[in-house]
Amino acid sequence: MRYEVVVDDSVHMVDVTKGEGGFEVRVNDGPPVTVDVSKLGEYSRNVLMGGRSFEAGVFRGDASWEIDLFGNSHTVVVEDPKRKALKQSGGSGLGLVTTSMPGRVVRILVDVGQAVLKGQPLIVIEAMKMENELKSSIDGVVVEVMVEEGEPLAAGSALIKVEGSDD
Amino acid sequence: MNIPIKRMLIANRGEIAVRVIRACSELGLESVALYSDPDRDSLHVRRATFSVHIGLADPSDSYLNVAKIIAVAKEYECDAVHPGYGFLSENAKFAQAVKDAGLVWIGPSPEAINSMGSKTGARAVMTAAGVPVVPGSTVSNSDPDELLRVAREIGFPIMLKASAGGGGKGMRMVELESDLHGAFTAAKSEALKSFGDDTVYLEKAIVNPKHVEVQVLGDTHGTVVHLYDRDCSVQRRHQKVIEEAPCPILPEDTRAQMCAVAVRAAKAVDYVGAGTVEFLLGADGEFYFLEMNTRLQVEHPISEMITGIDLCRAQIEVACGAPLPFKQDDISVNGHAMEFRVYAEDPSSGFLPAPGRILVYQEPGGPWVRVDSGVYAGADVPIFYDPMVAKLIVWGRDRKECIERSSRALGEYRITGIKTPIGFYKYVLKHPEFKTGKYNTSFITKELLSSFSTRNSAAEAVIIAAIEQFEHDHKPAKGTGGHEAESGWKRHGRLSAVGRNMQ
Repeated sequence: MRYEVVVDDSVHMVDVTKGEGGFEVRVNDGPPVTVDVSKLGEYSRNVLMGGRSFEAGVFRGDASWEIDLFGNSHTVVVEDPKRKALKQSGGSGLGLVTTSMPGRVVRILVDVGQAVLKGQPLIVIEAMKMENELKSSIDGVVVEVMVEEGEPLAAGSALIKVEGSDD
Repeated sequence: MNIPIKRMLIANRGEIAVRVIRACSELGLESVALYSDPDRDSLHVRRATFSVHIGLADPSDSYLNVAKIIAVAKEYECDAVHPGYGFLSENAKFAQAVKDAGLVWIGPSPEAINSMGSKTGARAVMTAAGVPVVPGSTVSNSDPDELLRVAREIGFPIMLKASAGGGGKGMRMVELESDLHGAFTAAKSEALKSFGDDTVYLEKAIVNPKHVEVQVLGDTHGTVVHLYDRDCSVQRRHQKVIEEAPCPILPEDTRAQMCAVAVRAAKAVDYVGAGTVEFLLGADGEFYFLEMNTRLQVEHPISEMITGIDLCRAQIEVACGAPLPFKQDDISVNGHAMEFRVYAEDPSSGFLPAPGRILVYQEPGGPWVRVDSGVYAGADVPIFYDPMVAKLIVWGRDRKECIERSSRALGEYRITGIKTPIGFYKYVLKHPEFKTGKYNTSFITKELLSSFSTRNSAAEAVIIAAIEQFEHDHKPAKGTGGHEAESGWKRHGRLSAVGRNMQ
């Protein structure tokens, strides 16, 4: 099975086959690595990679795998290249501001129709008693404000949509 | 002496509530925990002798609601109240309400809280005691012209602080005049939300200082001792993340001076219980009084580790009127200790809070490793409260051994489901500036964060994610009787049944 794996903005082609002593994995057509993965409960793994033993935490995110290794969290997107080709979509030039954490809208700083610059604060949200300003990632015009002040937010909520100005 | 109390109400949550429950248990006291709606299954609720529902998630309805808390203390016939840190711990009205209800307040007198708990009041006390303070002033209104006038008088850069505050809430550094008014408004709003008081204080920013503090302990018989110093300069958003004791670069004569000043400060307000006197240590070796925290501090365990004194236990004993069982000469520094605050935060996105459910949780162990935690596997980290979930505390014979052991212990710590800075802390321990001990409060910069990369383990993550996806894609469909669907217990039962039949 061949997968396209994206981590930290870099793309790798990974071949996985199941064998007697575990999995055989080749990354970017490199030499095969033998990996034995033992499930220690639903989210915990012991990994023997070329004999080296280490622990991993794994769980399924919205559209990714969350992998914990050596105290670091990695968000890894794994796709079947054939399936991926079917759902390619456009949408460049849209600056959609979302929140990665649950919280609450404190202040909305822009109105629909307003021109904004890249880096301009659009909205202030609060989570865990901290206020955070979210800024526009592009130059453009505010086309939609999806939330109201005081509204509670789930993680991943879309907040404000900015359409890029043509240049 | 025997403690004349039997039952302690703990007006807090999370790891500090668990810490106090432990002290109560060791003293033979029963504990009464409180919980808000989202905290029903929190660890402190599970560990206490009694646990009582107090209100909604919003702290004003629960952990900050004085009337409700006092009512529970009475209903459950408590003798004493421990406030932990944060919430009502430095609220003089709450301390007074506890006393008025005929209960023992585990902390300094409301008068001491009032004079030291307010940054402005504390400055006056310290100035009178001849202690150097950082130049600064309060601004009574938010008139932009008045604000700018005061700020210019002090001189930029300016530090904005919530007068009632602590823990970095409502705190802002302002370098440009044009940023002043916006920062002031934001600081006021944050201060009001966190402390119920929007008084914001302007202070000259001492650029790149070390944050060094002295632990003090006083009893009702007029004795005040110090338990030496802690270096809390590793901070992000003005909030401590790694602390160590003692400060690795403090000259002995400065240490002696600083500790003496701290004791003098505590004596000036007849201080009873555990308190912390915080200083800014400039690059020139001069130190300035910053504030006094009239409570048990988050980082108190590192002082416990180097002195062998249980601060939480001592707090309870002196609040009950016992004299301190040791003199200043009995207290010496043994070895070195570090604390690592485990936050539900993502260091790779600038420490944004990353709450959620903890799926895997395994604490480190082994020699001289201590974990003060408020969580477990399966616990939810609610969005309503501080994102700190646990503290790792490590002792070593000297600083080098402490760093090596800390690195090992961080390597054993496993948390999945929320993001934490554990990997980042391992990186910090290897950083040359941290190793020399000469780091200051601006140690964590954007440059440091971008030089810390999780990429060193990304190669393994790619392989594991691909294998998980492979397993996911090849999982036998439900109901087809695949062996993977069989639980271990069922399998074990079947195998033992087979074994019996064969006998």
